[in-house]
Amino acid sequence: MEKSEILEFVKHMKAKEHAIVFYSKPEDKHQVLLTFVKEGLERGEAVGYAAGGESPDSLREAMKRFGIDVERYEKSSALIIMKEMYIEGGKGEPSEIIARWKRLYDEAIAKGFKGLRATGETDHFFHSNLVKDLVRYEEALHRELDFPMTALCGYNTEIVANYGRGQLYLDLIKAHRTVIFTGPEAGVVKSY
Amino acid sequence: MRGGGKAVENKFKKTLLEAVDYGLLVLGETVRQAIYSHIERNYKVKREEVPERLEAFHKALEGVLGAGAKVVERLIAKNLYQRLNLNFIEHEDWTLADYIRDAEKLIGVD
Repeated sequence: MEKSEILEFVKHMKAKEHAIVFYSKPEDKHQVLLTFVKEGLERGEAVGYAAGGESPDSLREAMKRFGIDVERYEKSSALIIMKEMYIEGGKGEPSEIIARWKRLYDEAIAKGFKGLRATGETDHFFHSNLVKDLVRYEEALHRELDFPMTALCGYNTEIVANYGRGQLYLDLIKAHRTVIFTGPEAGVVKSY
Repeated sequence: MRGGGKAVENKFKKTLLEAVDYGLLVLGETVRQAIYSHIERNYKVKREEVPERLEAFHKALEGVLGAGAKVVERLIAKNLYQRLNLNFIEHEDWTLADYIRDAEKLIGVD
């Protein structure tokens, strides 16, 4: 599948969809996740980005290079970049994380945005040795979300495929309705 | 499966193809089809030719899945060993081709 088809797919993701993208190269991560972010902002949705693999400032720079007016969107609260979304008090409790996303969604709607797109990375689970909680969290989100947020989770394939002898890779595939593989040469989208 | 020349070899290839189908299906039917299309288009290898073109298959899988190819190849190998009633032992640095050479040796396919 051409990369352009993958980008079209993430642009047009609908509310309650929960997809995962496995990337092999950082530039692919930026291309896919920031396409998702930019499209949401341009459609009048709010976007929550949970920074993980890079700092919020590095992310802001990447967004600017991608043509996103970061200052304007952050000022209007359309764009919320979070340094830490998942781990609180040393725990990554799925119900609490989902409640935080739900709160962001409610605030976005109250401010007049058309919806909420959620994206980012989950590196903090790995750094905090809470990978079991990560799997519970992804499974708890279900293949379809309980509230109309649109979620795209980014994962570095190298890290995931080498964790737990590959079982994490398979568990994460099972936990998502849609899986996007962006390999070094080509990509493919699995969607039910 | 030991002995029997060509018939044994053909049976081994058929079993291997079934294991490849099984392993790729873990990713979903659309992905399996996309990988077969990718390997045919870019490496000129048809599904039926995978047993003879393992290196090309390995490269194609890595091209689409990156490091995930290793997980899928291990699934394929494990399934192949099960189908052949062989004891599967995982080796960190082995590719699918290494597992298949080992299985061929164990069952006596030249």
